[in-house]
Amino acid sequence: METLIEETKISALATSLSGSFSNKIPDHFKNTAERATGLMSGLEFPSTRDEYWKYTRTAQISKVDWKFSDEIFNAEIPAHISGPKIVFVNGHLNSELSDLNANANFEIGPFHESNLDVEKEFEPYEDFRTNPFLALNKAMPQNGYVLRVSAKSNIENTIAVVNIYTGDKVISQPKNVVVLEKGSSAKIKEYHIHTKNSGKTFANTHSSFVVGRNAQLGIDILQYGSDESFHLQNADFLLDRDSRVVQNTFTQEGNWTRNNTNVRIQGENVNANLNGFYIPSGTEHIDNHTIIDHEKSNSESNELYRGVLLDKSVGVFNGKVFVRQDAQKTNAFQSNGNVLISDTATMNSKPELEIYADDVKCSHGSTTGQLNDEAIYYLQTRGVPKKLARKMLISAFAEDVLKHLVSEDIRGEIEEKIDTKLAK
Amino acid sequence: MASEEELLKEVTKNEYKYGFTTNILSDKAPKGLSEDIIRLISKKKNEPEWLLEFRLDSYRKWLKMKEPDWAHVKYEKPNFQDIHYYAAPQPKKKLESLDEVDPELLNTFEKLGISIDEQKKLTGVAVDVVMDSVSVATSFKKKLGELGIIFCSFSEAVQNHPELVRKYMGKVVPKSDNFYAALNSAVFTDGSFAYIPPGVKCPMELSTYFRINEAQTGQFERTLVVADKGSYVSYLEGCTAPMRDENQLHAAVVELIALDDAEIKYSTVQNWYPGNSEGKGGIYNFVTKRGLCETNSKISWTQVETGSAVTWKYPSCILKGDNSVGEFYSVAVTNNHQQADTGTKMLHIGKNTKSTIISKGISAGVSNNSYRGLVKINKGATNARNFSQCDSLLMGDRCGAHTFPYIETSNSSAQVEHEATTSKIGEDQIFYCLQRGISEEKAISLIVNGYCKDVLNNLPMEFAVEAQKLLAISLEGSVG
Repeated sequence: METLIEETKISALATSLSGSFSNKIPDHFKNTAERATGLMSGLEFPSTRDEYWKYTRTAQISKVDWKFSDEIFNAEIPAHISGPKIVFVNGHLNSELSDLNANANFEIGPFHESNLDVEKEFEPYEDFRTNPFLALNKAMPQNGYVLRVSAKSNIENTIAVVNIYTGDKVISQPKNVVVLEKGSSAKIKEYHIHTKNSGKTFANTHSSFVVGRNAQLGIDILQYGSDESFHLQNADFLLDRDSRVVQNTFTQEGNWTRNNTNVRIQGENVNANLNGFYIPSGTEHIDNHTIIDHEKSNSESNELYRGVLLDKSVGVFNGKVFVRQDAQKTNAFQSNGNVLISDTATMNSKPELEIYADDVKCSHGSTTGQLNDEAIYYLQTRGVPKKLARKMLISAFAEDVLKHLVSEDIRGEIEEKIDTKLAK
Repeated sequence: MASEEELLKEVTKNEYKYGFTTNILSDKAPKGLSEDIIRLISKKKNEPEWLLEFRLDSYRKWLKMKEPDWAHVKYEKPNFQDIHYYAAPQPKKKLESLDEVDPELLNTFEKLGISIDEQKKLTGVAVDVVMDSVSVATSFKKKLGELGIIFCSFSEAVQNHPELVRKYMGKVVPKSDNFYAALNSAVFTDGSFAYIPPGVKCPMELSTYFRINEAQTGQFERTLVVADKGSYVSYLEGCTAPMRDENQLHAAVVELIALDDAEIKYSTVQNWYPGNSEGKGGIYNFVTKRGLCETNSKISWTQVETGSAVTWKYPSCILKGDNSVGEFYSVAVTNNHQQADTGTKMLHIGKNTKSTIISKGISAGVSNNSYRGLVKINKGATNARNFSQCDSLLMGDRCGAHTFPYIETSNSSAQVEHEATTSKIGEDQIFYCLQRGISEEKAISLIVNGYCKDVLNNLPMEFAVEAQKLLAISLEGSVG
């Protein structure tokens, strides 16, 4: 065991990675990167003994000799993505594929050219010990998108962000920053695509969302992993008073996916919504971790995560709601529903509440079960074949999440994925 | 709710009503823990060689273990070398009647409202009195003996029924199960043992009153209840402890074994000294309780937890046999500086296994009350069914209520449901009562009682009355 531990130091990975790291770190971020590098020494890859990683192993990641890649791939991007878009391949901006019509209302660009500094605001919340990958991302941040919407502006079109991860043993660490100034609004759809049959890819992303007073942010995330992909997506939200946020995460496919979403409610009258749908098959592993921290009163949070688990897949949901002493009159609701289609699938669900204020309404619910035989029988008696009946019920189950979609145009590809996975 | 603050103040003023010390000479081992002390305990109790080996093996395993820190509680870690691991009331001849019992001891029980005499005659409850680790009085033994039921202290069982003890001890809670279970396995001094032979329905409720009496003696009880095929038993456990300034450690192990078609109902009312209103003193209650269910059997845990400074307790069921049933009903009340981290584990292994979890937490003052539970459906547990409901009630704006459920499902035919809510008593509910001429305090009491009804209903009659009293005392001021 002794020697293994030596190899699982995350700082060792950082050292071996530094040779292939070619991105330019913007000046305002240099301090943060240095600090992260310093704090990383001694940190190990998390093991299942760590509560935060209880159900998700990182051993497979620690065994690969990862490197950054700056080869320019002319990757294909899904044809139906229309409107303004920004495209990154392995953490590098691909300006040929990008199509941005920025105007006076908002700025969008790659992280490395931006001077938008939001790190200070997030500093007290960083916990590199529980999530050392966050330190790795901050130590060597690659290009992601930076979006700033000026006060009282409203971006009509949904902005598409496409991240493509390709190559073999390639790690990518996009760093994204979104700032919505007061009274503004924006809609984003994020694609994360690991190309198939290219080899092992590891995406370790980090996004910071700063949502100002009375601002509104809607974000849909579509995750397309491959058979050999590792996808770790970290997001931190800071919500000011009267703001409203909706985040929908759709994990379409992927060998190993882990989403860490942390929401800090720092003002009154905030409305935060986190939704997700996952349909893992084969031996896929999907883990959704959320923390919603109610620091101020009169806010509301809703979480709805739904999953359909096929074959030998493993699903994890861990949702934590904090209600601080000052956060009186908080309403927090959390729901996790799962359908196990196969006898070999596993679902681990851990909805948590930590409440320190008394005048609150908080609840969570978690269910795991199978499709209702009676419902299937009912449909069969009306001439619906069993397979179709099953599909209808699952579509209805997914609809609870889909109805929260920010961009309706992605509905088709999500439904299609459900159909193809169920047809197998 | 303007008077809320006043009510809270009143609550914190409430002194522990059962705090008194009985002066009985006791036979103590020197402070500290070592293999020699364990040999001494074993020798004092005239134990067979295999039991000494069991103790020593546990001790060696314990030395390698770390004190767990995952629970949502903060406390000063006990100094294990500063505890007397053995204290027994002065050895006496075997007692046949109450006259031979130390009158002081009888007095103690009278103060607790459980005069053995009265219990014997009126309630039909056999009480196995445990006073500082060694049983001194056992009643109704003869009557039970006629049915073949063995109900005695653990040490007696070791002497008289070694084959049963050896067969079942450590089967459900292995020596190295956890830090405190290992400690208990090494140094346990006494406890209760019950064996119900096949097909026998125990005619009365078996009951044990534990009482920590000697200052600075950690109490390490060990309870083993074996219900043989087709039998039924209801077992009661209730606790009170005198007032002390220093923290006292209590690390008990309870093992239940329900063989095919058997049923065990295990009820606990726990009211140990919770510390004063500044959070000084109080009992550390780190208990390992677990039951094993064979085919068609049922184990039901019911607990009302109102005492202890720190509670760390997860009565669990291993549903090994097909069609077995596990139940957990709990009311946990914390007040002042009390901390409770309690819940259950339901491990579904057999087919068609069912479990129900109803947990009601009430926190007041500056206390923290957590529910922590695991429902695990193994691959082979076809048609397993679980329903969990964990509600928390907050009284006061400086207390905390937390829920940490773990739900692990590996079988598609299983149905698992979990729901939890946290809220305070609705102002509209109180208003409704006030409208009808019910005072605010009474209204709160009414609402809390209703809130806990699902659990209290599962207690045996005698206990239900006591439990209601305890709830009232624990929340006195804010609950009438």
